[in-house]
Amino acid sequence: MYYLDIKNRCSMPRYKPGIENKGLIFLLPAFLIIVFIYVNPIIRMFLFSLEEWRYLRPEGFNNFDNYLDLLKSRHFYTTLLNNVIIILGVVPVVVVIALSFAQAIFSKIPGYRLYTFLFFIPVVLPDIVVARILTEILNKAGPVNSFFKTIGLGFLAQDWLGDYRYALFTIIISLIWKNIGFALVLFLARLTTVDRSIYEAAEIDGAKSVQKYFYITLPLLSSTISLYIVLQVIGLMAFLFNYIHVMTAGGPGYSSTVLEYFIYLNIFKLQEIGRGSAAGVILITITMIFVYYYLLMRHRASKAANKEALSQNKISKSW
Amino acid sequence: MQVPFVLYSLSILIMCYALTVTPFRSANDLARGVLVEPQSFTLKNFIDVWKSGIGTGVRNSFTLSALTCVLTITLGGIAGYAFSFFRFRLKNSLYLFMYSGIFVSTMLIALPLFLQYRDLHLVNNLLGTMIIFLGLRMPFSIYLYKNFFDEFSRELIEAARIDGLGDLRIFAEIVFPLSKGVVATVLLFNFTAVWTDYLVGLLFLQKNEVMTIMPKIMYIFGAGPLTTRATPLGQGFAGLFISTLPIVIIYFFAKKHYITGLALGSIK
Repeated sequence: MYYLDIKNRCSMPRYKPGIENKGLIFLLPAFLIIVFIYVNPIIRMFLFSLEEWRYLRPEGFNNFDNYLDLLKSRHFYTTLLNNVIIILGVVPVVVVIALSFAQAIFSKIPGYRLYTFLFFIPVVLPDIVVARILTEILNKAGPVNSFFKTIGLGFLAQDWLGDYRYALFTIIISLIWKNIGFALVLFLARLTTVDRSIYEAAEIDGAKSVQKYFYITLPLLSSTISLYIVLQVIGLMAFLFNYIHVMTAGGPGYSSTVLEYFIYLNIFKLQEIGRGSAAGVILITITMIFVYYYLLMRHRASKAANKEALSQNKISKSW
Repeated sequence: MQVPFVLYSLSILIMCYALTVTPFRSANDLARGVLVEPQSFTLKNFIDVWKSGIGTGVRNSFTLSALTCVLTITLGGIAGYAFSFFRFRLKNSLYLFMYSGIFVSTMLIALPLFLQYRDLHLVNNLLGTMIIFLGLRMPFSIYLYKNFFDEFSRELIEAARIDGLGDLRIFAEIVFPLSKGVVATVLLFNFTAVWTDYLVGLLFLQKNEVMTIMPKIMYIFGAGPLTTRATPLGQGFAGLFISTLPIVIIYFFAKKHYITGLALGSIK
């Protein structure tokens, strides 16, 4: 009797977790589009990088000649170096500024609501708009230089975008300006999910606010900070085209060209498609290494942190 | 304590000032400089920029954005639903594979796709370009959806399954109506991304009647690849103003979606 009962119960129409391959059918449209837009061009770019090109027409494979050509080109190293300089110049500064802003806003300094509203505006404004306006403002005869002259700092009035010594520096400053808001949002989102009782316990133990910051807040933020850093590095490697194109067009010379813009110049301006594609293969390799690290870190972070703590409601409440 | 805040706010306000005041100043007034106090008020710049055809740019960009949004909301939703509610082989690898598309630079896919499109006669074709945007926006949409669905009530789905509802109907009648928040986020991000795109428009929509707004403005400024003429500053700024307006309006009304989307999109 007992066995029969079990059998009856099992035969009830009940949702059984198992392999459900019809899920694949639901994926199919998105999958096909992604294959067409991402996979197919990237594979073809890899093939392009192995071919000899003459005016947008491939003329047979040439045994990695494009890569050798690339490695011999002085400009390639300049662009790689520029990439590294941009990353080293932007990321630490943005992290430090955003951390201090986040802490101050979190402790509700006067006017913090206005600041959170204002500081996100640079993130929202389109790249092209920001870059174009900065070009006007930083123009040799533009307002920034005339401001420097009127306050008696005439030596600071330089050709910010047209001088090979300053072009990269100007781009770094403007990228810092634009990216603070994004880091701020991430850090604030993490801060709002921190359990206040930790701080209360520390206060009872007699911790000063500096100690609380360095021994509690920073360690709690560390996973978010490292995630942000990797994300920003990927962004600075792979999504700089608009900025560079509008502000300096990679110039003067190659002084502000980054790897992504180097690909653009080679493919669309110099018609060196083999060399440009080889640089593209290198860029995607570097990007994917960073993406791998990003995913690994996120996996660890989501394991460590309580997933519920970062739910949609809690973050939107904090804003 | 307040000094860095005030300085940074000031720099943002200067940017906003340049963006909002400059397009309303006359050419003679503008010759005095971009950031000085305005001595004129005119709508001539907007009229001129409209005559030079920014209307078509707005229309094309809007069409592309709207179509892309509709398709990413539906197709991305179905895909995110599959990733979140079904078990099948290679699920995680497939998800990570699709997801990593977010980080691929558009520059990398530009040339191979361009040559393909040239051979298919799809360059200067709005629908053809829409497919590119659709593909470019798909990974992030799937990602947002999956994140949302992962917190969705399982009991509801099971109950619907016991009642004998098909999977597509569960999605269309139960899951989708309950996910307005994530739909808004997807809509917002994809609309903004397509609207502010520059590179794809620059390469794939070169003819005047199909140009999108950002390349159009750069063309008016004279910085485009097509021409180098003297810069009519006021007109260019009027173009920038028009192109930023929808973005700012969206930001005002959907700030929460924007910020949660960004925050969840990168740290969770």
